[in-house]
Amino acid sequence: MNRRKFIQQSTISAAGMLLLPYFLSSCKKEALFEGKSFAGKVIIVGAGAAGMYAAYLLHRQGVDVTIIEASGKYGGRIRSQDLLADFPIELGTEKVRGERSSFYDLLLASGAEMLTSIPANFYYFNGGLKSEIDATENTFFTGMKQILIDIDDYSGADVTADSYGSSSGISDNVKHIFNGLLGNEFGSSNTRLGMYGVREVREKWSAGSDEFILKHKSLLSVFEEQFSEIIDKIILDTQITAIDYSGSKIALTDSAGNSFEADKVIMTVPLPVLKDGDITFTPALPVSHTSAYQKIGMDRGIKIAMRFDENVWPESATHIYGNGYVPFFEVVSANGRSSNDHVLTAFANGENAEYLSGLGDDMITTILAELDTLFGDASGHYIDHVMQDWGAEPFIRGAYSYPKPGIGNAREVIATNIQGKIYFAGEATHTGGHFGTVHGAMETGLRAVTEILQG
Amino acid sequence: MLIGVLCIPHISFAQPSVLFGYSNLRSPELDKVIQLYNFSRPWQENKLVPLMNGYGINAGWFWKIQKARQIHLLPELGYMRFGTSAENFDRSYAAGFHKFSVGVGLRFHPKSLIKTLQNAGVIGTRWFVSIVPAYSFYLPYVRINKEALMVSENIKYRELTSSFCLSLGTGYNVTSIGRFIITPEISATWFPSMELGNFITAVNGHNITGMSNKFSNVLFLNAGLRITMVKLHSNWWDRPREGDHG
Repeated sequence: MNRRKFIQQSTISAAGMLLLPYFLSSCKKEALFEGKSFAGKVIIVGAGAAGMYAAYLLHRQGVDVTIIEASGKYGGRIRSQDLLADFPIELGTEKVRGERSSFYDLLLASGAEMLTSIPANFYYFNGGLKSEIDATENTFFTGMKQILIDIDDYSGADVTADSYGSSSGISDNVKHIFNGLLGNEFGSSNTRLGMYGVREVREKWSAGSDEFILKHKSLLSVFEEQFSEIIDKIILDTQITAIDYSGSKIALTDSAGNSFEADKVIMTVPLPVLKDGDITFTPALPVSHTSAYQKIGMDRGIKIAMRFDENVWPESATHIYGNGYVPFFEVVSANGRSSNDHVLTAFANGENAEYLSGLGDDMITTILAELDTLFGDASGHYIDHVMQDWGAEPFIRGAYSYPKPGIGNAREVIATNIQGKIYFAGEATHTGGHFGTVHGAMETGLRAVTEILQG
Repeated sequence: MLIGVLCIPHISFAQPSVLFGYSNLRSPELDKVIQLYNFSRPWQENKLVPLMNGYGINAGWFWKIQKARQIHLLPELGYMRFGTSAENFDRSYAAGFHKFSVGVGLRFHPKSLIKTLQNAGVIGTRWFVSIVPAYSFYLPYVRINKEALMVSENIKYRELTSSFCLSLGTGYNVTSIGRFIITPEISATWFPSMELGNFITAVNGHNITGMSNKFSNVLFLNAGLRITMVKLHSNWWDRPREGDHG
């Protein structure tokens, strides 16, 4: 072969090789729902994170969707208040748990300034408040922390966290901290929390380990902005009381007797609404569903944000674990959120929340007394507070779901659609360890939508 | 391994070969993993493209195992990488997988298969068909802002899996330059089943939709340029063989 022929052949071959990827890439790739079409109407019952996200995804696909919400507000357990401090006070969901979720990406897209929540823990035991470093000098405390770590390898029976702690030898003087770190964190108390569910979260959690808070924006405002296309599709103050899916269409009836019709329904109502039978289904929901509801708990949860005229807590503290009816306090004005206001949030779930709720107006007095024990004179610096009792919300009736002993595959069961007509979403239906979270709720909304669009 | 050991005494008669290749991945099931990510984040303008284009390199050794019928053996090691990436709101996201393969190819020259080409002379011997059974290993990856995804504090996302595949291809020894033979090749590789460990959760942050990380009937369409070094003979395929008729 001579040089000219070599150059000619090489050029042709090289051009062909370079163009080949573009040629093959231009061949159309199937879209996610290629070959499937859904032209019907979807009604979503509940305008929380799961419902709003599902509606947004469906709307973007051109599906006719309506959200029906029983209360006068959308957002569900995402709620904030702007009057107490110079930053929004989150009365429900406070943090973004993990950086690997569509919820996190949604917040990024909103342009909201996110702060990494860096915990600086203080613990009250043995008559004093101790930093993490000081606490680790106590063998009972380090023993308790090790017992928490050992949950990763737990292979015993599905008992309560309290039983697990007792059988593992947790000392009584740190048992309240164990409850604050575990039971209260899960939305209840250790006396009710099941160990298998705790282990499930450890095994399946895949959203990332960092936690974030928004500096100046509320979480609800992000939802309002990013999902603005579907806000006018929400019908408020409309409580669905009956759903008849016996026919080809699904008929929904509200408390005022108004009727709605849909081809598919996505139920995103909180667990107690389904557990307590607020909605009559025709035909009745399968026994598998109704019995599964009973295996998942959702207890009362109370959040009280208190403003003080100065930091009554240690300067570096962000998380404080107390020994009273409030297992956990968070300095929500920390991490760069506010330089003017000093705000501490009390967070109690389960038995503690039930007790505090029963105190009525005396609740704040009781909590301030607990803070005096922790910090010295806290009540003398108290200015104002705002309180949210999620157990008192008529259409929510709790904080978030938690696993009871014997939960088994209850979440898988309640997540199963019925006859391809009634779909279920909401944090309680998350089967991948993200129950009790906003990103988990959104992921279940995605599941329901993909099930509908894939037929 | 056994084949490698058997090859050692024959290396002096073997001819080293390198293939620079491109591969187009065809798997609707695997596409859905990326498409789900995009679908769940409609606010992101820059979408991840489904894994399609891979580039890599193979290295192996040729030797004749059947002189008369022009059958060559080509044990070969290969590497190829598939990836996709996008940046949105100052956050870069990349996902893909590395593919390592070990295979033993059989190359048949038409002179041995199609008797009517016996008199085709040089052209007939230049063309070949190949069949390559191979075993491939996959190492998926996800990077956020160019940092590897961590599944826990000190552990990066790494899930090594493997499976069998089969390639059918053809090529043409187009020319030689000095002691190097230039051979464009095309082939199709079929994986009955290909698993990328926990890939769906790694990409999406969850597997709430219950997709399988095992993808069936995955097809790779390959094209490449092979350069074979002639160790002992130049234009070895031109040398008369036993039974040749001129």
